[in-house]
Amino acid sequence: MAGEDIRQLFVCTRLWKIIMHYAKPLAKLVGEFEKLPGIGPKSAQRLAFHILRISEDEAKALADAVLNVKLYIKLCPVCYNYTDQDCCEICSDAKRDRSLVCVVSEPRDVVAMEKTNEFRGLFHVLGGVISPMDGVGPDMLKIRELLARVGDGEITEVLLATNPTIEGDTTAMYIARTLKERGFEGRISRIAHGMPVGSDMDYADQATLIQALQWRRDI
Amino acid sequence: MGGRGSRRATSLIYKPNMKTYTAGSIVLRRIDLGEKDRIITILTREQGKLGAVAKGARRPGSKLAGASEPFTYGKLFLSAGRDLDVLSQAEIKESFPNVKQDMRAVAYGMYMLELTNQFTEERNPNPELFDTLLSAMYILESGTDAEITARYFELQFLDLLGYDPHFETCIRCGRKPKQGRLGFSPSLGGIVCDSCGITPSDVIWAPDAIISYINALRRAEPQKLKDMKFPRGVRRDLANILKWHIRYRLEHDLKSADFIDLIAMFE
Repeated sequence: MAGEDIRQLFVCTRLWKIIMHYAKPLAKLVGEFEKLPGIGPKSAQRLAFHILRISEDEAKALADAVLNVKLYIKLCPVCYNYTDQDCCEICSDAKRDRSLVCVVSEPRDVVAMEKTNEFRGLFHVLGGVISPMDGVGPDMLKIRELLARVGDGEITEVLLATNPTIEGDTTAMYIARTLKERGFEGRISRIAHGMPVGSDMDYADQATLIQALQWRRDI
Repeated sequence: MGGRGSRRATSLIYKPNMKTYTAGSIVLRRIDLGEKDRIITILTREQGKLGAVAKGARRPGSKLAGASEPFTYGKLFLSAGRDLDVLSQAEIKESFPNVKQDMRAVAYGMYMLELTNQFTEERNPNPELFDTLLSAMYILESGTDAEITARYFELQFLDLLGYDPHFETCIRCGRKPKQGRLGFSPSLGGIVCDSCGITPSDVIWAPDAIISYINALRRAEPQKLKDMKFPRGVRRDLANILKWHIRYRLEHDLKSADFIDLIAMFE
């Protein structure tokens, strides 16, 4: 038997012995938790034992929540944020400024912007950023949909709020360039970059300070 | 010879059995790890390519955030780990701000990083390769045409790794090709003439004028690259030849090349 086969057999036997220590339904739950990101065998075990301790109603609520997310959450056909309605709450809110669209890479960025209570425009979620080295191109994002939205004529400003990383900046540059090529005459803005609030100049790195200088404004 | 004091004085120079060391590094690639961390692939002058964990690099205001961005040159303080080293401190030497504001320069810059990442092996130092990549990054930062910089880098890079394409004479018979056009065979790694046997099936035809441009590019001083003018046809043929030459050695395409093709529509 080759060394690799012996190692595989050893791993399988060891895993089997661990599984044998649990009752079958518990072993299944531990296995399912282990599939989640950032959850290792120990954490999976702890979560599974926690489920055993909670009441049946609580366990059912958790199971329903997991299932409902899969059954009812879909993408808003306008902004591509997650919603359980035909059109998300933000897009269907009549009080929102429909001339301003904030372009973000992920749905969680919408939550971050909404928490500020400062932004009153609409959103557009790209579903990622252009990452040439990972083979993620513009066609894999909701850029075509953004162009169609902007083409309707109601939008007068596109705020590009992708992360200040090389991929986020490339995505913003690509969208800005494409909008200009398509004859968009409104304002195309980029979210400001620079020093985080409450930080220390002395500890800022060169890249951050350069950004802070480039994005400086009059007071 | 060398008491305790002298050993302390050299403690920041890398030695394989040392736990912490410092290295001039170029960040080739970065992937997110968990909630706050990043795994970076760096090219160091002393140790070659290696992987390191930048703990907390995704936290707002983290001192490691800027230094763990691809296309950044910095002095990194690392601790040796079992699989991956751990980045503890970083000092950015150059963040190449001009490149990061030019989409075309970013596209070619990413291509150079991917090329380096794909061709190099971990812990196999090649100081000349490090210097070649770093100087290509500075050339790009100086505003030199991104495509010419990438072609210049490719030729230097392939030469250093022993994959230099042969353009001077026919790779089979050693004779100079007839004037007019030349055929480049990626599988043979050089040009072939019409008069020595069957033409390989993978041959790429190009006007022979391309050789003078290639030689000019090979011998060019970095500061002279800015003044070099390449006709559109030469650019296309040279890109095509080098693309297939690299693809044959690598056995797959570079992903970042697709983005370069895509943004060509803006030109």
